[in-house]
Amino acid sequence: MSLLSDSISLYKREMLIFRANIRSNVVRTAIFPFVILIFFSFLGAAVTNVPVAVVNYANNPQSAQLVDSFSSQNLMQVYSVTDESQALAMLGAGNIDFVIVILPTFPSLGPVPAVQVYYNNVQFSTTEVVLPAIQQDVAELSSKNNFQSQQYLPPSNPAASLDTPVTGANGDYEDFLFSGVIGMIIVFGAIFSSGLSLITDKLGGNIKTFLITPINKSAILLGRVFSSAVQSIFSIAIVIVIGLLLGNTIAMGAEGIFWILVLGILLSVCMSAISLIVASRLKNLQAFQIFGQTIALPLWFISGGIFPVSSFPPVLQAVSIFDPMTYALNGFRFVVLEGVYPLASIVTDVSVLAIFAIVTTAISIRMFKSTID
Amino acid sequence: MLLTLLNPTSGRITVDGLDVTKNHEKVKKLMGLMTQETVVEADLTARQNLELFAHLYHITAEQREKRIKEALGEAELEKFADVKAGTFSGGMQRRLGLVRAMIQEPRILVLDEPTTGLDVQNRTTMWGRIKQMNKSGTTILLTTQYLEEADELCDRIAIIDHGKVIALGTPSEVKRIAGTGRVLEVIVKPEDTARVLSLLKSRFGLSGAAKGDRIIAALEKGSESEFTKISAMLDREKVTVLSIGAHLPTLDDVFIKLTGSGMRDASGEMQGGRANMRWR
Repeated sequence: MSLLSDSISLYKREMLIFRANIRSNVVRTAIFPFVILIFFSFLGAAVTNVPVAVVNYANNPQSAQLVDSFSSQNLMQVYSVTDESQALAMLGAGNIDFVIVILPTFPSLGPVPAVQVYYNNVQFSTTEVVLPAIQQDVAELSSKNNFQSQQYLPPSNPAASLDTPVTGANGDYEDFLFSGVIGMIIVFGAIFSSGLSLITDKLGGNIKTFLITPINKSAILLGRVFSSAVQSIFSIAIVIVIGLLLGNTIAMGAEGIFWILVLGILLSVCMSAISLIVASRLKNLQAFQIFGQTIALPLWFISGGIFPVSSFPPVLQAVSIFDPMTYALNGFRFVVLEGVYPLASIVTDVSVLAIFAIVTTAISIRMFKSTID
Repeated sequence: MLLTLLNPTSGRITVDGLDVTKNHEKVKKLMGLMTQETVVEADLTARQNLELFAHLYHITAEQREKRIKEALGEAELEKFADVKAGTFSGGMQRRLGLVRAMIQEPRILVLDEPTTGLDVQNRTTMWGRIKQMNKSGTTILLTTQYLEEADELCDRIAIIDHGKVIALGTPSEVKRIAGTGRVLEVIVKPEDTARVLSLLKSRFGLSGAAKGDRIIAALEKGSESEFTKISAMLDREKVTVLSIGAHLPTLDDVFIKLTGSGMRDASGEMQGGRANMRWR
C-alpha cells in the first residue's frame, strides 16, 4: 500500500520534470525518426544500374522488345544469360539482384505467367523500385497478369526461409524501417529517462533526500519505471505521427496502434529497468552515456531494427532470442507490414516481454543500494 | 548513520528510545536533514517541492495543505510559490531547502554547513531562523567550518579530528582547552615567521604556531606581563611587526591547538578536522 503510494508520488515527480522539459523531450524524440525515415526514403529514390540477368526463352520480336525496354532506362543493367539455372546461381552468389525469365509463351498468357522474376532479399530499397518497373514494362507489351515475382532462396542456405514474416521484402522497406524506428525511440526514451535521471539524481544529492524519508526504497525505482512506461506512450505517438506524415502506413490500422502501445509499454519497462540496473552500479554520467550508446544500438541491430533477423548469420539469430526488443519488433512488423497479428505471436511476444519486464524490474530493485557508502 | 544513509560499523543508536536500524521508518519521521549542497528539485516549483516531500513523509491530506502554507510563509516564498525552484537565488534555495527539511516537523534537525556560501545578510537571517527553531523545541545538530557560527549558535560543541571526538563541551568549556590565559597574536612579514617562532621558543619558552604571516602562542594565566617584554624583544631584534596583540582564546585558537595548523588535504580530511556542534 505504502509502496504503491510512494511510487506514485515519485512517478509524479518524474512526470513533472518531464513536463518541465517538454520542448527538449519532443525534439529529442522526433529528431531520430525524422532523420532515419527521410534519409532512407531518399536512398530508395536513387536506385540506378541494378544488375539484372535476363533469360529469354521466347526469342520472339516481342520478347526482344521487352528486353530492350528493361535497359532503356538507367534503372537496370541487363545481362543476357542463356540458362535459368546459371542465372539463379549468379543470384545466389550475389552477383546480380534479379533474374527475369521470359517463357516461350510470351507475350500471350499461358497456364503460368510468362515473365517470372526472382530476387534476393538483401536489397529492399531496390526491390521495391525495380519490381514495379519490370511489371510495368511487361504490362505495356502484354498484360499485367503475365508477370509473377518471388523471392529466391539459394538451396545452400535453407535457414533463410520465407515462412518468417519478418522479412520486409514483401512489404516496402520504409514501412519495415518505420516499425524498427518505433522500437528504437522507445528504447532511447527509456534509457535516458530512467537510468540517466537516476545517475544525475545520485550526483546532485537528490537521491539522498529521498532516502532519508520513510518511504519504501523500491518506490525510487518503481516511480521511474512507471514514468518511463507513460512517457513511452508519448514517444510512440510522436513517431507514429511523423511516420504517417512521411507516407508510412500501418496495415492493421487502429487495432495495430493498440498492439504497438501494449508491446511498446512492456518494452519500455524492460529497458528502463535494465538502465536502472546499470545506473545503480555506475557513479558518473560519462560511463552511463557510453553504456547507452554501446548497448542501445547493438540491441536495436540484433533485434532486426534495420535488417531482418532472417538475413543474419546463425550466431546473431541465436543472440536475438535474448533481446527483448526482438519480440516487440516482431509484433510491430506484423501490425505495420502484414496487417494481421496471429494469436500465437501475440501470446509469445506479450508473455516473453512481460516476463522480461518483471525479472529486470525485480533485479533493479535488488541491485539498488539504499546506503551511500 | 542517524539517518540510516550509512550502516554503523559497531554500536547502537537510539533516538527517543527507538533503535535506528530497527525502527528506521519511525525514526526518519523524527529527523530532518539539510545537506551541504543545496538540493531542491530544480524543475519543480516551490510548492511542488514541498508537496512532494509532504507525500514522501506520509503527511495526512488535511495536514498537508496547512503545513505547505506555513512552510512557504516561513521561507518568505509565498510570492514565488509557483515559480520553478531552479530559477531561485542561492539564498532562496537554501530557505526552501530548510523548510522542506522541516515539513514533517522533526524533533531533530541535522544541518550540514547551513551557511556555507551564503552572503552576510542571508547568513544572519539563517542564524535567526536556526535560533528560533531551537527555541520552539527542535534539537539541532549542525556541522560548520565557521567557528564563530558555532560559538554564536551552539550550546554544546564537539570537535572531531580524523573521525574521533577530541573535545566536547559548552563553548566556554571548550575554549578553556586553549588555556585560561591570553592568546598572543603577532603578525610579521611571512619570511620572518620562522625566526620569530624560534625567538619565542628560546627566550620565553613559548611554542607557537604559524599560519601564513600570523603567529599564535598561548600565554598562561599570570604571565600576561610577558606581553610587553615580548613586544620589546621583537623591537630589539629589529623584526618588522605589522601587528601585535593579546586576546581571550577563541574557538579558532582551540581548533588550531587541537588539530594543528597544517593544511588538510589528504583524502577524507578536506574539512580539516571539522567541528561538529550540537545544541542542547
